[in-house]
Amino acid sequence: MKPTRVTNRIGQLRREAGGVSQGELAANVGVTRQTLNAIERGKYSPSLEVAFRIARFFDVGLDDVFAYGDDD
Amino acid sequence: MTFHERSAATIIGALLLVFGAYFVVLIGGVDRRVDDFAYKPLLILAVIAFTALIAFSHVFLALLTPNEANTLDERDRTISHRADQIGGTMLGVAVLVVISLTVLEVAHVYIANALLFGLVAAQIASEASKLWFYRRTS
Repeated sequence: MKPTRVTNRIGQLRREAGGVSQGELAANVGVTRQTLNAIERGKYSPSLEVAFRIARFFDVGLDDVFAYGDDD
Repeated sequence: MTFHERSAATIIGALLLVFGAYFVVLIGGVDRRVDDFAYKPLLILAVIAFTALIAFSHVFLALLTPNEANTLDERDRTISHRADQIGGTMLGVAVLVVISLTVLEVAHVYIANALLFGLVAAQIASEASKLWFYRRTS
């Protein structure tokens, strides 16, 4: 499994949403807390479906949560 | 460590312990021929011991983390799938070795135990890959 170049703002969005815990978000999007932690730290690239569920949880667009790193 | 990581580590430990002991006993006696050795009772004993060890250890692990025991998310499935691919490749190599032994009309004891060794090695490779992938993605 290769390291992902997908970056995200999940940690920032959790804080902006009033300190939503990783466990709470994980339960809402249907993954374990460990998997959500891996996504948040950029160690694991989620499926499109989970990515959409995370964006929907924060009521923002996919682009507001995830970005793809530059080629350089 | 999650339930699935503990499970993989436990399976590796049990395989090394039980089948390591089995193969040591099987090939241990330098002064006797392997094909004269009554390996079947020992093999049955090893399989029963391994099954019991895995069952009891997983009940214990499930009691430690009951909320994780039946949970399998997309990362777990991806890791499991990739680990199974690695184990499957090793098993394929083992099958080729066993076919070669069969074509060469080697004694059954060697064919059976080469196949068993391949199964054990493939499972160890699969579980070790799981641990590696979990470490890499956490």
